Amino acid sequence: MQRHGIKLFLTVLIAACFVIVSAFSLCPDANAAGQVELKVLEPRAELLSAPAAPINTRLKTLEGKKIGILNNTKPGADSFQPYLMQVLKEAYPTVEFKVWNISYNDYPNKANELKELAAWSDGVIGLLGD
Amino acid sequence: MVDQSQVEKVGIPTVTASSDQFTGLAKNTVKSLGLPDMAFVDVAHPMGMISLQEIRARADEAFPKIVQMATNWKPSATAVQKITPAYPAERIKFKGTYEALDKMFYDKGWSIGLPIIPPTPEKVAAMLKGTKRKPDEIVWAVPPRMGQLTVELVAAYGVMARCKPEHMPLLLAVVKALSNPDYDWRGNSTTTAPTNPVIIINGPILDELGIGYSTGALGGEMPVNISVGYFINLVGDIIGGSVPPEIDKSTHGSRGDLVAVVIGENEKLNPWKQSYAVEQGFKPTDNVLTAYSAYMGNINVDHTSVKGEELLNTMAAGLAGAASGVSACMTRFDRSYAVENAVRFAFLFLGPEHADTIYNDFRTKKSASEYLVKKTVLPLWMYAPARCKPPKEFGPYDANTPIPRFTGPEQIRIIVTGGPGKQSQIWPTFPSVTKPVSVLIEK
Repeated sequence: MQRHGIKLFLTVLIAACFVIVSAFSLCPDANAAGQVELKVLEPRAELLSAPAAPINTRLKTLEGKKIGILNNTKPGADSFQPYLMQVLKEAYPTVEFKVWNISYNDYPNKANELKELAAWSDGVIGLLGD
Repeated sequence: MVDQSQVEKVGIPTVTASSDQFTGLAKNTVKSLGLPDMAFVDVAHPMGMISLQEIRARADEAFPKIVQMATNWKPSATAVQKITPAYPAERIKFKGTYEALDKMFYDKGWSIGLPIIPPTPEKVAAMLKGTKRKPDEIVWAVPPRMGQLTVELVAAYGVMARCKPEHMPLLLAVVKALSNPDYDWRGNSTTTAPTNPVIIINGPILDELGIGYSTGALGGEMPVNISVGYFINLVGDIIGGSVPPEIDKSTHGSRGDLVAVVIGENEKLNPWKQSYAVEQGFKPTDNVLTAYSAYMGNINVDHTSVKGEELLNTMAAGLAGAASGVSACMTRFDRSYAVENAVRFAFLFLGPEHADTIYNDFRTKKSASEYLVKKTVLPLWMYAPARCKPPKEFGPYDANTPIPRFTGPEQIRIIVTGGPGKQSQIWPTFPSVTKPVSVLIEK
């Protein structure tokens, strides 16, 4: 009898523990173990922005102007350039065009080429192809 | 777009006709350069390499828009850019599960798809103890977004990537190398090519920090290599803003976009004794890292060659064909991409067993590189015709004439790395202005 009583007591005890543990895991507050409250650094970082500047006043007309074509030398721009120039020349026969093939990458004479382009041109059409 | 913005800045009005797949990147670039209102006309991608009728149709469509932008367009208002101090980084309170925190970081663009360790102020402060540099020092404005990377944020990204305080000098040296103009971070982080930042490390720091340089050094279970590689891409994508599809235009991307290639040289098993860093003028006791941007590597698996020449012959086959298409012929290391659009150099990661085989017949790395220059040849027809036009001094040639890839031994650089096995890897450079940048790791 005594042994049976101990067995029954242990069974009830285990069952009670099971119920308590289950209730804890189902209870929303019990999930507090999985919750964290902390501070973190916002890692996005502020921009090193040049002060925003307005763009230059537009040309009144293309008639009689010198238009520099700045080709970034990618195959897409290379293919597109002659046809764009053809269309422009048809519409504006008085416009003078000159092409500068300047890679978007750096190379020794690049700064001088950009200066020449800016010095010659009244306006510039850039071609950004890939 | 940097070029057009320079023209605009000296007073010349510009309009840029842009492949519509690249206009977003271009606008982002000019905004970071202080000209957010620059004029663009979208042209349907691709602008070229299509039929003449299609190109003409695109030009016809773009033409009136270009004229309008050149003569009548007025931006509604010049965008005002808010400038706030970079230091200290904002502290944010969070309550929730770690999974929710991880999701928040990804949703806000503060992580790149792998889990992060939360950069709590306590963990960041602990990382900062790994350097004497001041936390408010700005060490890099990271292109193309031009986010200001402070020492504090280096520590924060180190935490996120599971680095330790003793890694701080290494992380700061990585930043110093990648921010060098010779590396060309802007070009490499926005190109359509699958570029991989590569970091090669030499010196006592290898064993001090447990940096992988033997078996599986480029694989898993290399916590320092992986954490530093992860750090690089966290910084590049989050502070630099190089995120696909708008800004990072890499057609396929690569796993190097997630965890950059970080590897130590196996100096102990280098039969030539001189490490790569020593060849670059550093002392054997210096801790040095070398950074460059690479196309994805290919491999040499030669189990049978027992002579140096035989082994270099099979390596030459892989080296000649690496980065096919863009790998122009007869390149020179001292000439720019603009002139040649060429892969100008490559690194060989020789396994120690391969290195021994080559060393038996080539007692200097330079002599091995000179041999490879002679052997890395392809018939002309295997090169892209627009990118391989042998000069007059080359003499007569036809489609089947063998044409060399390289012109000098300095273009083929050798390091010894990895563990046992008859394996080596070939890592050719991205063909921009990028050059290897070697810097001291200063404690």
